[in-house]
Amino acid sequence: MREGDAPTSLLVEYLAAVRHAPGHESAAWVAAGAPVAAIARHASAGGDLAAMPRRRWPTRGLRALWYGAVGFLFGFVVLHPIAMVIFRWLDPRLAPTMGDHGAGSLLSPILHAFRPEMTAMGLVFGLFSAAIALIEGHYRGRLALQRDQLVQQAALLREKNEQLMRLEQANRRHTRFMVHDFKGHLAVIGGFAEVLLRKKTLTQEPAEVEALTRIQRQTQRMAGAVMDLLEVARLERSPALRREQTSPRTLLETAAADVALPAHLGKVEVGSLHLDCPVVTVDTRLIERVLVNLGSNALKHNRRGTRVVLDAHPTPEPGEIAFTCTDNGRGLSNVALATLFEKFGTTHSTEHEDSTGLGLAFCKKAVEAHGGRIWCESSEGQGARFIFTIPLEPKGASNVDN
Amino acid sequence: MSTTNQRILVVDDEPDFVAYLKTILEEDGFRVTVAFDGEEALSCVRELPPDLVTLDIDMPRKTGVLFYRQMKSEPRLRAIPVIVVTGLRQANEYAGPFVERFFEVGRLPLPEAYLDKPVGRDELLSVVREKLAVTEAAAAS
Repeated sequence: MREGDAPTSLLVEYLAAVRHAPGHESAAWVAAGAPVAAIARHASAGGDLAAMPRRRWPTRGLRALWYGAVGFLFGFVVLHPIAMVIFRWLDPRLAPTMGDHGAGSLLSPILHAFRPEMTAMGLVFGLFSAAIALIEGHYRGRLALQRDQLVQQAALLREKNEQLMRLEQANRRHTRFMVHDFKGHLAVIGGFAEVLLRKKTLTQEPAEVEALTRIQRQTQRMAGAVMDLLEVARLERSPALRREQTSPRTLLETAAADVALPAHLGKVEVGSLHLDCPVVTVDTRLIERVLVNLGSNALKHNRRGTRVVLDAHPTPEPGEIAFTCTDNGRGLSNVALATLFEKFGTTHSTEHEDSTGLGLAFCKKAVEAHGGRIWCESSEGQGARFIFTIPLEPKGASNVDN
Repeated sequence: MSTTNQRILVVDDEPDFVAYLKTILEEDGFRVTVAFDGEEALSCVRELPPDLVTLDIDMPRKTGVLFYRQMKSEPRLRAIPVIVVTGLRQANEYAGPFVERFFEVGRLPLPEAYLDKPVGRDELLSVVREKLAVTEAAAAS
């Protein structure tokens, strides 16, 4: 919660201000009865808090004395005469004793209250009122103390919140650069594997070639995951793309031949509908990666030997084409469909869980950055089809020069 | 492949990456010298001007940008094409334009090409050949 609701943040400001006002105890200030809203208003208006009117009570005794005195005076001077007026009104027979011989005069019962013989009655009222004032003062003091604690806690909370946010930011930055370094290291590993695989003397050693191929494939998969991570973070910050013109066919064929696909689990084929599709202007790296992700998801979450078909076709709506990734596997439940594209939201229903769930979140981000949509059509036991659309006219995010 | 006698200077502070680029380029018939920081690269270039330089930006002692400025301000070395090979442009979206702006300061020619790390073999070779062909054509005319 960054903003905090207004009153709380005002209070926090107030507290921050009084904390730095030398020799000031905010509790005493609030205890003196300054309403919190008034303090907050004063603080938010940029007023000097030290200059705000306040009453200080050096001791609790003095405060009690003040409250008692004011209460007593109020009881004697205000409550007592009012009570006389009410008594007279309730019982007209009292009128003569109050010296009221005319009818309905308000003044006579009031004057009656201040006659010497009524002093005892006045004292009763005064003491009664003083008691109430003292109780009120006591609770007001306690309330002020609690209010002050609350304000302190709010400030502490905000401080912690800010600290957490800074940590989170630093963490993200570090992660980004670390992951970015990983990419460089992986590229060197993969690159040398490729260099070695090209050596002619090696081709006579099938075991070594296989080992190198495995190194290369694993490196590619890891590099792919690293790229997902980086791209999701980047697209979250700003959905800028490096668009170039390409045919759906190139995209599909490159994706289907990607070495990062778990080819041992099944086959990824390219369908034939894409031949009707026009050229698209997309961030090729991203869209290829989306297709690879969808393909390898389909292989990973189904039984061995699943057939996966990547294809594209023009949609009924003009101006966009749809890419599809269809498998004949076990399909997805409605529950799984609902949370499919959330970050790290794997469905935990597969036998060999080895994905972080970031892949689909990446797909969603990448497709949406192109101004398209992605969804999944599936019913349990009948395979799944992932579909995403790409507008032919680039829209949504602005282009970056490559 | 083609056996040219063209000399390429690879500048990067990561020895493994230097070795990787060196291997790829040597396999393709280029003669490769390497330098691990800007100072070293500058003395290399002055001693024996290469036909092309691949340059990393983020290096200790002297950054790629400083090296680039000094190299391009010497008339004798100005014509040597430079390919900037960096991971910085992708580290975040702000770094990209930032990196490129670095090179735009002063009245110096811009680098001939940018390549983003990780750089693939074919990508690197095609860019290197293309830039070498351009300078050769310029020298011939």
